[in-house]
Amino acid sequence: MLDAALLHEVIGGHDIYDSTSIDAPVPGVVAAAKMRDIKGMRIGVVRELGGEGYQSGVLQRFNESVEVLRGLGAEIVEVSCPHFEYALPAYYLIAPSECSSNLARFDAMRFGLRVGDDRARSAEEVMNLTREAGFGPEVKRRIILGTYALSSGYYDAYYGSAQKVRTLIINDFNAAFSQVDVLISPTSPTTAFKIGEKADDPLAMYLNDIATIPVNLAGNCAMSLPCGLAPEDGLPVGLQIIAPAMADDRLYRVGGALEAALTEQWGGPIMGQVPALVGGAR
Amino acid sequence: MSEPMLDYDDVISKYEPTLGLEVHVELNTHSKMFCGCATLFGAEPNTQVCPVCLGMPGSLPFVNERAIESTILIGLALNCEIAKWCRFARKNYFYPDMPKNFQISQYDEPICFNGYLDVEVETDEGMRTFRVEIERVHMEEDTGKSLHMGGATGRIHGADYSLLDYNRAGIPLVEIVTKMIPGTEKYAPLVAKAYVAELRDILRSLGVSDVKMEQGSLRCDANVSLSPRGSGILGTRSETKNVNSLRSVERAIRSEMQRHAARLDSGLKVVQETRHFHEDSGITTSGRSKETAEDYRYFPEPDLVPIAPDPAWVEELRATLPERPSVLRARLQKEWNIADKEMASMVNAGVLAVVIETVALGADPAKARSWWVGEIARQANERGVEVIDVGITPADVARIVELVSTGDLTDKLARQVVDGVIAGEGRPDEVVASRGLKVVSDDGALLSAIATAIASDSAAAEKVRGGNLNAAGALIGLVMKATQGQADAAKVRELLLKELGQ
Repeated sequence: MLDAALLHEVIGGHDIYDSTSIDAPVPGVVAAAKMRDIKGMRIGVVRELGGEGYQSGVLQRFNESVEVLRGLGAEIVEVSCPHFEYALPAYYLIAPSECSSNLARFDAMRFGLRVGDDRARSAEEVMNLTREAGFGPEVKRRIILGTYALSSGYYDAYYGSAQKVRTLIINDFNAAFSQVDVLISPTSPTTAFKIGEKADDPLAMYLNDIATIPVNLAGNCAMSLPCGLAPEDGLPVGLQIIAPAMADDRLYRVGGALEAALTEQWGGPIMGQVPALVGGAR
Repeated sequence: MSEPMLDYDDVISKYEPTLGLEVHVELNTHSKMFCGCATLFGAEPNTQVCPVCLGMPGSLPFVNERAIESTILIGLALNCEIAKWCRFARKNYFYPDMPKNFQISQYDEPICFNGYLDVEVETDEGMRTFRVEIERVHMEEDTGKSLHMGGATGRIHGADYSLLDYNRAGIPLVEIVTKMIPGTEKYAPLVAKAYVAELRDILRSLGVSDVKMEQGSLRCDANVSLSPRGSGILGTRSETKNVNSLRSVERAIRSEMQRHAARLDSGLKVVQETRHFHEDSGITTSGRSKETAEDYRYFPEPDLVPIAPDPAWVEELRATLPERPSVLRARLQKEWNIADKEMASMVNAGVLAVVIETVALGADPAKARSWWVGEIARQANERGVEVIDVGITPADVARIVELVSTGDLTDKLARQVVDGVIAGEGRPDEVVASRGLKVVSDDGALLSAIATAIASDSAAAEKVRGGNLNAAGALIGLVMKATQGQADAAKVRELLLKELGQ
């Protein structure tokens, strides 16, 4: 936790070459990580990010951690964010739309791979052959999805609606943060799946991001830390802490206190106890 | 190959034209729209580029504030409303001279909108004002330039290969779009020309662009459609691209009106398409058809934040707006007491601004005008440069006018000073000193030259003594020659006649 905070203070802050970065002082995250005191903090458990569809071992370790936080003096409150259920479909319209445009520059003209340039083919043909050869199936899937979502006649129904959902999700967060200092949830519904295991089922793969996507859409800050090993497979379970934008110090305050308590409970760092990698389905 | 054209008078008797004009202006900011690269015209290809304007992966745009300021100034000068909040948008299409394969532009949220520009056109009933309504003024980035090699036409079709220069990629562009302009009747080509001319003058007076049509820093696309007289049905439009002189704007529109009318008369439809205007033949030819219109998939640029110009800042900018060029011209004409023709000659020579500056430095308006429109414009023309680039400044001209009025220079000597300044020999006083051009006003020196002249042409001297004053010319000529033209001829005459008892 302290390592992350130290790095955060070095790389955080406004970048004049990135207009989307916020021009405000970086919160004191190192001091927060060292604080180890969360007495009186209000912590919200997001009702929509748990329950059905979540692996039992994930829920078990998460709930244990909630009790640890309560034991450390935090006030635990359940909060509801009703629009989070639309976060995944909204994200998988917005992100591929941006991808389809961002990746357009990979066209073999100025850098990178160039396929089929036999001095007879046109620039357009070379672009097509290069992009066909260079992009993998997941990238192509997103480019096609995004191109479709932005097309004239479909924009309002897909990209436009997704952006409206994004606003509703931001409103949910704002309402939640009027009641609590931070929100917590499992980082993902299951422990890690094997490499390639869900390659043929992209929807199942996308579903694994269900708990982290609302934050990405809303522009809040969040962190994930290991909160135990799932009894059924021995794999680490992640706990997500979410704070409002520019309140990164709250993440480190809660994260630092929880990490210390869990390390003591597990007799050492959790990540030192995970099984060795044995290769995936590939 | 060339299509039939209907006689222009017949066009007007049967049809009513509607115009639409899109003007692209390259701003003269020192750096590009979304990066710090230089924007100098004519640099070696691909020397004014960086990861951002080359569209390298991982690079991000950041907005040139000066470009926003210039665009707001343009909007204010065109009587537009300024958006309180607006965004950039991505216009997606693949083309090799487009580094990112999308152009950062503005779509449904332009920074300026709902303006107008009144232009004056000479009609059969005298000068008449036509109001051209402005739909929008928005910002975007320019593309690179493609050079198609090996083909006969310089077009991509038939070329062996193409070269790309990205120096222009990312240069700030402002697009000014009119609403449909109805009711111009037979004056449509003149209204369009007057609009572009007035717009060019305004942009120049704002100092936001070089507005050089021949260099492409101001480019006009002209939309034309015809409807049968009285039908009220708007016709199909064609869009003639990149018309690059004022005269071409007029000719292209006239030609399109004649072509449309000929098609409609013979029962054909006008095809909605892009046309190219040819300066030599004065006609347009078909470009790419818009039947398979490209879907640009516009969406808000996620790498930039919205622009929300502070209303107080906008008002500050409004307060700095210069006088409208047409108003300024009318005022100066009155103040300087000059005719329409003389004002027109200054405007056409592109010297009005420098004449104003010269007069502001104390020079007589008539003298200042005559130097700039005459000798200096001639020399600029010979060198193929703009008057402001020829190497002489308003301060130089004001000083030369002053030296003439104080009698230190004659007009003839002053011309040599102008030559010297343009040749880079220094400022006027330095040229006078180094070339030794000062008028010989020392009476002693003049009297000795006069004595020498009388001695060498005693016959002429006798005639003058005898009362034939015409004979003095030869003697004055000798004195002027002896003083290398640096004497004041009137003064020489006065002294000479006195010497010869007249």
